[in-house]
Amino acid sequence: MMKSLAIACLLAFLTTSSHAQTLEPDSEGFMSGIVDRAIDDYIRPSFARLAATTQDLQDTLSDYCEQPSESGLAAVHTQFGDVVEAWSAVEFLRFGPLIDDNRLERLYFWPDRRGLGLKRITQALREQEDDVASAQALAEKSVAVQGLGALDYLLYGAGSESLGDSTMSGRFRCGFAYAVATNMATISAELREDWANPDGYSALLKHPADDNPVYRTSLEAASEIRDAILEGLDIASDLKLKNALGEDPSRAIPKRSALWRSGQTFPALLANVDALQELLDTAGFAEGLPEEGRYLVNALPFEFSNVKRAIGAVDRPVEEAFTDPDLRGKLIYATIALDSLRDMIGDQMGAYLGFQPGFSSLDGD
Amino acid sequence: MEIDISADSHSALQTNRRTFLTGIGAGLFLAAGPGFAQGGETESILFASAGKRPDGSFVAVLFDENGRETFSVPLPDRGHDIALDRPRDRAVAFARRPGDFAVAFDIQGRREPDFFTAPEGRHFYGHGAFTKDGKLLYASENDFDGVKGVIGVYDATDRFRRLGELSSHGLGPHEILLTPDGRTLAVANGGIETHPDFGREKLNLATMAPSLAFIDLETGNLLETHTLSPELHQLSIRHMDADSNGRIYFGGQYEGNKADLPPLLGTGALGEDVRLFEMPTELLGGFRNYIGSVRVGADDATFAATSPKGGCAVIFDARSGNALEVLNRRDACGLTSVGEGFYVASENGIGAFEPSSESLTSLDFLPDNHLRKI
Repeated sequence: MMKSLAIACLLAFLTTSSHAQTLEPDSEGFMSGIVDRAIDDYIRPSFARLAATTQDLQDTLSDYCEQPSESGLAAVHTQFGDVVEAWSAVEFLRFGPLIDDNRLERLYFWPDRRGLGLKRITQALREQEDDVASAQALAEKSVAVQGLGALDYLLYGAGSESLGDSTMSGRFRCGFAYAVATNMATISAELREDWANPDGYSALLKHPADDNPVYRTSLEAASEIRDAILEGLDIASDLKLKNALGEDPSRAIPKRSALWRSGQTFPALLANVDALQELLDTAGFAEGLPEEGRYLVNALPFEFSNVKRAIGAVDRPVEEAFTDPDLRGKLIYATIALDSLRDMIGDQMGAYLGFQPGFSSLDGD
Repeated sequence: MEIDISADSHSALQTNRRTFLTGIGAGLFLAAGPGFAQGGETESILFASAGKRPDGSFVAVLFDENGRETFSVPLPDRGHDIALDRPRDRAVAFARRPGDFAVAFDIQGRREPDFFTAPEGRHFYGHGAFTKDGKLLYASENDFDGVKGVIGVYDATDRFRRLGELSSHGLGPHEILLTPDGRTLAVANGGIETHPDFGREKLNLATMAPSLAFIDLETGNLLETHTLSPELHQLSIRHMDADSNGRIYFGGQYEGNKADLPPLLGTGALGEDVRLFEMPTELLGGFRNYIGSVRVGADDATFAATSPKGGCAVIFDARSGNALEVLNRRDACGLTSVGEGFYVASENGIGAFEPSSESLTSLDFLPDNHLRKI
C-alpha cells in the first residue's frame, strides 16, 4: 500500500516535470550530458585545485612560521591569492559535499554581518587561546575563526606585521594562521575526495532515477548546476557589490566587502565571474538552445566580458573603489551586467531549455 | 539560497511601496464582484490567497472553488499568508519576507482596504494571527539589527496601530497561530538569521537552532520552547497547524545536504516533547526536503502537508503519521481543510484533494504559498 502510494507520487512528479519542459525527445541525453561535463570537467578539477592550493599554503606557512623571511612572506601572500582564486571557483557550488559539516562556512564564513570573525579572532589573539593554534581544535570552534576570513585578518589585518616576529604574539599569530591553513587543507581534501568518489554525491547527480532520493530526472540534476550559476551571479551582484555600494557614496560600506584586508575583493570577484562563465561553457548549456535562442551564444560572452572589464578596471582599495564616483560607476555597471546575465541565463535560457521552477517553489517560505 | 532582493532593490522597493500606498486612496481598490455566495442556493466555498497575476502584478484574492473572484486587492509586492478574523469578516494579507507591508480588508468588500507597515527596523515574515475577540493582531517579524525574532502586536480596532512586541524566543519566526484555548500563541521559529541588507541570504546556517515556542499571551511569558535534536538543527520549522486540542503539527525545510533526507514532519504540544514522523524514503524523497504548508483535517484524525518543490501533497493519519493519500500537482503549496477533506492550490489552480483532476479549477493568478478557507 505504502509503496504504491509513493510510486504514484513520484510518477506524477515525472509527468509534471516533463510537462514543464519544451525539449526534444533527446533532452534526457542533453541534460545528463550537462551534468556529466559539469562534474567531470569543472567540479572535480576545481575542488582538486582548492585542495592543492590550500595544501601549498599550509606548507608555505609552515616554512614561514619556522623561519620567517621577506621572500617567505611574499610566497605566503602569493599562495593566499591562489587559494582565493581556487575558492572563488567553487564558492557557489552550494550543494552536496560543500554543504556537509558546515564546510562552506568553515572555509569562508561570509557575509559576517555581525563581525563575529573580527571579535573572536582578536579575542583569541589577545588571550592567546591555545585551541586556535591547533588545526584539530580549531575545527571544533566557531566557523567565524576558521577559513579565509581568519586568514585575511591574520595575514593582512591589524597587527599582521608581527607575523614574522620572534615575540610571543608574533609566534602565536603565525601558529594560528598555520592552523587555519591546515584546517582549510583538510576540509578541501575531504571535498576533493567526496566529489571524486564515484559512489558519492556525484552518483546522485549522474544517475537520476525513481529511487534516487535527491534527483529523479536529469532535468532536476541539471537544474542543480544551473541554480548554482544563478546563485553565483546573485552572490556577486547582490552580496559582493550592491551591499557595499549602498545607495550613494556617503552610504557606501566598503568594509562589508569580501576579503578587503588582503585586497582580494576584486580579484576574487573576477575569479567568481570567470568561474561562472567557465562552468556555463563547460557544461554546454548553450548547445541545447533552439534556433530562436541562439542569440544567447554571442550575447552571453559579450555580457560576461562587460562585467569583467568593469571589475578589472577597479584596482583600488575598497575604501576608494566603493566611494570614488568614477569607480562606483564601474561597479554599478558591473551589477547591471551581472543582473542582465542572470536574466539571460535564468529566464531566457531557462525557458528555451525547459527549466521552469514553480512560483511557490522558490526557496525559503 | 535565493537572493532576489538586494540592498539597493530593497530600498527601491520601499520607495515604490510608499508611492504605492499613497496611490491606494486614488482608486486602486477593487470592489467586490457580484458573485458572492448568498444563503439559500448551493453555497460556494470561499478561499483567500495571495498570488501573482499574468501581468506580473501581485494581489490578495478572495475566490470560490469555481475560480470566481469575489474580491481582490493589489499588493505593492509579493504577498504571503492571509490572517483571518472570520467573526468580523476581516482579513489581513502580509508581505512575503523581507517585505514590510500588510493590508487589512473586509471580506465582504464593504470598506476600502487599509494598508499598514511594520515599523522601522522590522519586517514581516508573512504570517499573522488575530485574537478570538478580534481586538489584536499578532505578526511574526524580524528585528534584523537586533538579530531577534519578535511578534508584533497590532490594535485591530484602531487601524492596526502597533502596540508593541513580544519576543518570539527564537530567530526567524515564521508561521504563528493562536491555539484553541485562545491565549496560547504557538510560534514556528525557523532559526534562520536574515537581514534585508543581505536579501534572503541565510547568515547563520552553521549555528541555526529552530524551535517551536508556546507563549502565554496574557502574561507575555514563554511557556515552553521545544527544539530538535542537535543533528537536526538545520531543519527549519516553518509551517504548522493546530488541532482542536491545541496539538501542533508542523513541517520543516532542511538546509543541510539534500541527500541527508531528515524527517520533515512532526507534532508537539504543551507539556510534551516534539516527535518527528518517520516516513519511507521513497515518499520522503518526494518532498525534496521542503514542506510548504501543513493543515489539520476537520476531525483531527488527519493532517496534510504540501511540497511545492516536490510537486505533491500528502494526507497523513494524525496518530501514526502514516501516509494515507498522495496527490501530485506541480507547485502544490496552498492547503486548507474543507469539510472532510482538503483543497490544494497549485500552479494549475485550485482543486479538492482527490486523485481525479476534474475538480481542478484554473485561476486568473498563480496562487502563493498559503490558502485559507473563509
